[in-house]
Amino acid sequence: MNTRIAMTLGLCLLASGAMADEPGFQWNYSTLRLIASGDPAKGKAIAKKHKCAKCHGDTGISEEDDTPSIAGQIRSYQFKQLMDYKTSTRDEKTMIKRARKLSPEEMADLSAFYAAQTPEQPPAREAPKLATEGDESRLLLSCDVCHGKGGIGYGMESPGLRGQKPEYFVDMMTAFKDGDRENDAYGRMRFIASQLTDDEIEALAAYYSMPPLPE
Amino acid sequence: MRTHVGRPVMFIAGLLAMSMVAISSVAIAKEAGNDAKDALQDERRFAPSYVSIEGHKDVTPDQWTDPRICGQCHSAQYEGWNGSMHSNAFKDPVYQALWALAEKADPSMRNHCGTCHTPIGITTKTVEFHPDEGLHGKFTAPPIAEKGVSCDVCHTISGTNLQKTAVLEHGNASFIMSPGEKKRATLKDAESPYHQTEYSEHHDSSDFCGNCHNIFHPGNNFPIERTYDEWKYSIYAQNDIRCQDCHMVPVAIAEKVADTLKRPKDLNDPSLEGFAALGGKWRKVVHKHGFVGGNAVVTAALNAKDGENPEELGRDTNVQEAIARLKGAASLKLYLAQKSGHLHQLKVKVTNDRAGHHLPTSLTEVRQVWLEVVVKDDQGNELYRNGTLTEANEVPKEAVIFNAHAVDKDGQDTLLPWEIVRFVDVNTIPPKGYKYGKYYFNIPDGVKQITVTAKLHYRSFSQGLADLLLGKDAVKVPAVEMVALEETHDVGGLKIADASAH
Repeated sequence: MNTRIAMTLGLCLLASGAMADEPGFQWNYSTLRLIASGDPAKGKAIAKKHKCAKCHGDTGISEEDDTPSIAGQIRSYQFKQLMDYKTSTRDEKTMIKRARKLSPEEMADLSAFYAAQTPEQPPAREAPKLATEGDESRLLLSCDVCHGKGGIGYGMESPGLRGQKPEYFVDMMTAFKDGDRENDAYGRMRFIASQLTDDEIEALAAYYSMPPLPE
Repeated sequence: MRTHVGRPVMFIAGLLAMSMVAISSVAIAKEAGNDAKDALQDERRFAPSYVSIEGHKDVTPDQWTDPRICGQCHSAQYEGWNGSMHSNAFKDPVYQALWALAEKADPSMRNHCGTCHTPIGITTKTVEFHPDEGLHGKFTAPPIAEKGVSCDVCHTISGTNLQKTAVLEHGNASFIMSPGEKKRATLKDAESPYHQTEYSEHHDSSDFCGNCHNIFHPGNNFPIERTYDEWKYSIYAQNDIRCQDCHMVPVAIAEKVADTLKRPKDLNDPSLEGFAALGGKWRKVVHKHGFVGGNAVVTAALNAKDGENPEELGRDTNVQEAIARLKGAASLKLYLAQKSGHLHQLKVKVTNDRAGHHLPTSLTEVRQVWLEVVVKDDQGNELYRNGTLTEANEVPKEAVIFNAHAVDKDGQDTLLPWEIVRFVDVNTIPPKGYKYGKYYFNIPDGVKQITVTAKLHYRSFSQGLADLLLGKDAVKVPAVEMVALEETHDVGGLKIADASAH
């Protein structure tokens, strides 16, 4: 068993991590109040202004298998991702460029808009054992523990998975596995993904995600 | 018809009946006695320690959760705990050696020492002693038991046996363990998709810590480690400042707590906010789980960080934190006066500013907090020196040292806890209290100014004890400079010392 726990790689606390590089910004109750105060109507206008629909669709449902759907996503998770792009904690050129133009208030509004949209519903499938039971021999909790039953999502560090695009799902799990994505607090996902085989990642993608779009 | 024959028959019958009653009474009494004896044995199954398992059930190591599982949702807590003295409680080589010597002197010491250092190992009876391994012997236990005082040890404790102890006070592992799905802590509205949760006031109190951080001799009941007692009668307890308020927050917050005597939750410091668990609510105070005190020596010694082993996470932080705590704990003040002629007196006042227990605490006969004083004239010539470590890395006998002096039944000095009968001298510094070091030296004619340097040093144990436990020259015991003060004084302006001053 690979005993390397990637928690060793991700020691930075959210409160003291790269987001502290954003002038005047820190994670505290004020941040949570700001996220909660996000206005979906304003968010819709901001999405239009920044042409978010070009990649994520009009209502946050992507039309490409390798581009994330963000409809119905937990708003605090979306806010954190935008802030991580802004501070280059999460690496993706297009999103970094877009996020740098957004204020925290605009991020809260955008997050509120997409959280209010209805995600796609994947067809019912039998859940893989990893999703519901985990594997204690590899110190793996079930996916349900952090992402909720069926991947409904729990919060800022626990996004919804249901209805995600399949290729994007696999890409992200692979990025965590290879250590290319590093914005998971304490390296939790890096540890988990590092324990998974490619087949297991594919099986999880098939369970949580939409079927691939026709060629 | 009544006959004379009937009386003896009735008499005999009466005797028989009485005998049967007597026999059955004896049987009942015997049975009751056995029950009481069994109950007592159940309560003290791990004597001389006072730990018990809820319902006196038999338990196995797999009933406790691996901390690496806990760490996946409670990552901040795992990072703090890992590398802490709690996580090293079993592995600590100094402890292992001392425990081995204790086992050889008195096998009952296995439970007495082990129940706080590996509660899982003792209560599952899985600790093994290998007398021929290492210098004095070595203990092993199943992996979960070797993780010492781990997450699930504390968070499944369900009560205290303090009223059953010989001294009617917390101590000697006076806690009740209930391993299982229910995890106990201080949040009233905690929810988890992985385990059950239960609010526990006990976990929010110093009493919880006192179950282990208060140790009396199991034979003669002499209080050897009195950390909880020292706190209980301190200004900290009077202001409802609890162990957790200093030892479960960063050092900067602990210093604020000590200075203001306000609990962390009342400081409204945003740096304490965060998630107590993945997917949980944002909390005003998220507690650190390193429980850092003054032991930077063992923590640093076990700091073999290789990046491949999850057990390595967090150790550097805990070493630095321990040093920072020591450096912020005390302050010095100097008072210099002329006694008569050339003879001068220097008094060094050492104040315990920020420890909510005595300085030092715990094994006070082993810990070393001492003053080093150097006096130089205006030409840089050394006039006086006291408290500098010897070539053998020992505190010199004439040094002013703040600790306790323990003796055995024959009145002989001892550092071995199981031999201690009493302390013949106690010079520890109480919370917010102070003690003086006094020095006398001559200042020659012609010296106009002197420079006095005073330093307060700390180390967890002496070189001699390290040599005994780990082998001669196996380690050179390091010291931490807690605080230093340098002052220059004009000699001519000094007043004649007043014996009543200070």
